[in-house]
Amino acid sequence: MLLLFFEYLAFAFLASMGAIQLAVSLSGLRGLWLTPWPGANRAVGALLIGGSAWWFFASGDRATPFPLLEGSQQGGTFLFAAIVATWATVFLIPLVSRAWRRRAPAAPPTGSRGLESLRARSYWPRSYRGDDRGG
Amino acid sequence: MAADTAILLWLNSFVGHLPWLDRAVSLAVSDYFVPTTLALLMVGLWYSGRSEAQRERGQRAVADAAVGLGFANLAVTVLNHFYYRPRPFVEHELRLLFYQPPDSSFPSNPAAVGFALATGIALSHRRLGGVMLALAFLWTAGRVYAGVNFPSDVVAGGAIGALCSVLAHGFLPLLEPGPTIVLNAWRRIYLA
Repeated sequence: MLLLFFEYLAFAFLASMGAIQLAVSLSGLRGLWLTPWPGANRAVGALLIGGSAWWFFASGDRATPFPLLEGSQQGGTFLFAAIVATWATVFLIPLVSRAWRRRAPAAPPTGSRGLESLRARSYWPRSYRGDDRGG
Repeated sequence: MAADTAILLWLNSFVGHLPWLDRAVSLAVSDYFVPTTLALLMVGLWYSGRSEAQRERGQRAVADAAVGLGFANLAVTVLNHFYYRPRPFVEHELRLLFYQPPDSSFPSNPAAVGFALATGIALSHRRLGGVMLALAFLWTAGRVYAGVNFPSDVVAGGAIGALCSVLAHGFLPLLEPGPTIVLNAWRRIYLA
């Protein structure tokens, strides 16, 4: 049961990271991009979703009741994984994609709240450097 | 009821003839594949939109779907408390592609979950909602094919799920400014 929980948690986390990359590459939230190229972000997103799904369903029999994550357990695990994936994308990805931030093109005007404030800049420059010009 | 059983027996009679179809249905009816796919589509919607207004529209649709799911789960739990219908494999000789769930067959909980989520999104995002409705249909039709639900179970479950999301869609605006306050709080911690 505990093993299934961690396996599902890993699957949901990686797949959520992939879904986020796919979505933000289309919506233009550059502060959440893993790479400077939207096509590459979509490819990484698709790979994360497909790879994690393949790993989860191939690594064990998922059609047995023992062990089983009940609906509410599964929903709670997914929600937790999606929240962690969001924060990992907001706070960690900018740290590992510094090259992109140096090469970022001129950014459109930024919004002021939540994810919208990351349209043209990542979380860290805004917090630590007060830099409004983006990466 | 005779038609219900006839459809079940007809669909289940195909099990074992096409191994690739059986494998596909086994995956589709698993407890993880469709629910996780639906949830991932909702994660994608949460981040989509070229402006804050578009994104907020998507986030409110996700909220409709989530509240509808809560209503649907409550409705199914209450119904199961008063009515128990044995699973089809208890009364009929079927070829199962799924383990034998011990809970009531009517109404189908997966159908309620799938259609609650899909309808909640479809009410404001037709194209994505259509994809989700198709997935919910595959999930629930697959359960009849796999021998774990009667057709009427999934029809009832789907209707309950859809109705609950329609109710949630009408109910949440009545709670304003509550949902807006929650959304703004989530924006402060970069979750929206």
